[in-house]
Amino acid sequence: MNLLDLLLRKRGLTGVLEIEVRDSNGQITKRQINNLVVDNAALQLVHALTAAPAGYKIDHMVLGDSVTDPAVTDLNVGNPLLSVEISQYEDVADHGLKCTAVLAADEGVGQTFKEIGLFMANNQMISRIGTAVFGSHTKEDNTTWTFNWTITLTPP
Amino acid sequence: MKGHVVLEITSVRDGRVVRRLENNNLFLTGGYHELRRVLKGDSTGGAGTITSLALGRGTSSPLAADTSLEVPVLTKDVDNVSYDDPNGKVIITTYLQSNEGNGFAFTEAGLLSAAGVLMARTTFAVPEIKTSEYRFTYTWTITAG
Repeated sequence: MNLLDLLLRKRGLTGVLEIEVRDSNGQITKRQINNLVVDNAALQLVHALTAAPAGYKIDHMVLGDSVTDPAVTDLNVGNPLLSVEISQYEDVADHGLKCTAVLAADEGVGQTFKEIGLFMANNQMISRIGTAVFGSHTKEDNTTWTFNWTITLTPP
Repeated sequence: MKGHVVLEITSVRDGRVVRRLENNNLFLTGGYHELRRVLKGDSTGGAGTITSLALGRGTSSPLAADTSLEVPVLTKDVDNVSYDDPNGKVIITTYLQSNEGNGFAFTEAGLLSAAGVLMARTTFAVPEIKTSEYRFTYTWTITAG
């Protein structure tokens, strides 16, 4: 286990985002990137154990265009532009949960996105991916972007 | 998830803490299952949040796959929940009053979700017989990581 793994596990969570882009011809391109779990995630997880559960549902992703590097102290993406609701959940191995959100063909067209964050219903961010990893992508007409963000609750 | 449990035995006569036991817990597969239900908004059969303490007389070491106490005796609603936000901790306190659980030597404890799923378990090596002379206070601290 390397230092980065240790830091991520200290927050009780790891995460991977798969981005799938489908163009107007039905052609699909996929890529997979690691997220940064922010310190706030640990706080949200322990609250989720005992508080009224509605606020602790992971329910949306926020796309933005800030180029500021993510930091573990982040509470939001650098410059939010668009929120995408999570539409599907799937249990996966090792206490994992795959959250799927879809940016439809007519949404966000012409906008350039450089960062993304994963949020709970209480608007608390638990993970962020910055430009260095996310890249810079302009949403073209007639393309559908599917985000599959898999988080894993990590035993000590 | 990591947890630590402290049991304080207090004399109801003079309020003095006569004994203090502590042990780490094991956060169980059921605990991760319940937390995951919260994270995806699934409240089927009851919420996945911790609502009660279970006490029993089992002595076997906790295993991740445990789904119940070994020898369950009673269940008690949690009395108080507080948060140590700077350190990412939740502190769950449950009292066994002087008129509760008397005559039993409790050696194991667990946390249950509102759906009745065992989420964490611990054992205490030395059995403590509960009598009306004492109040038991279980303070369970859970930290993410």
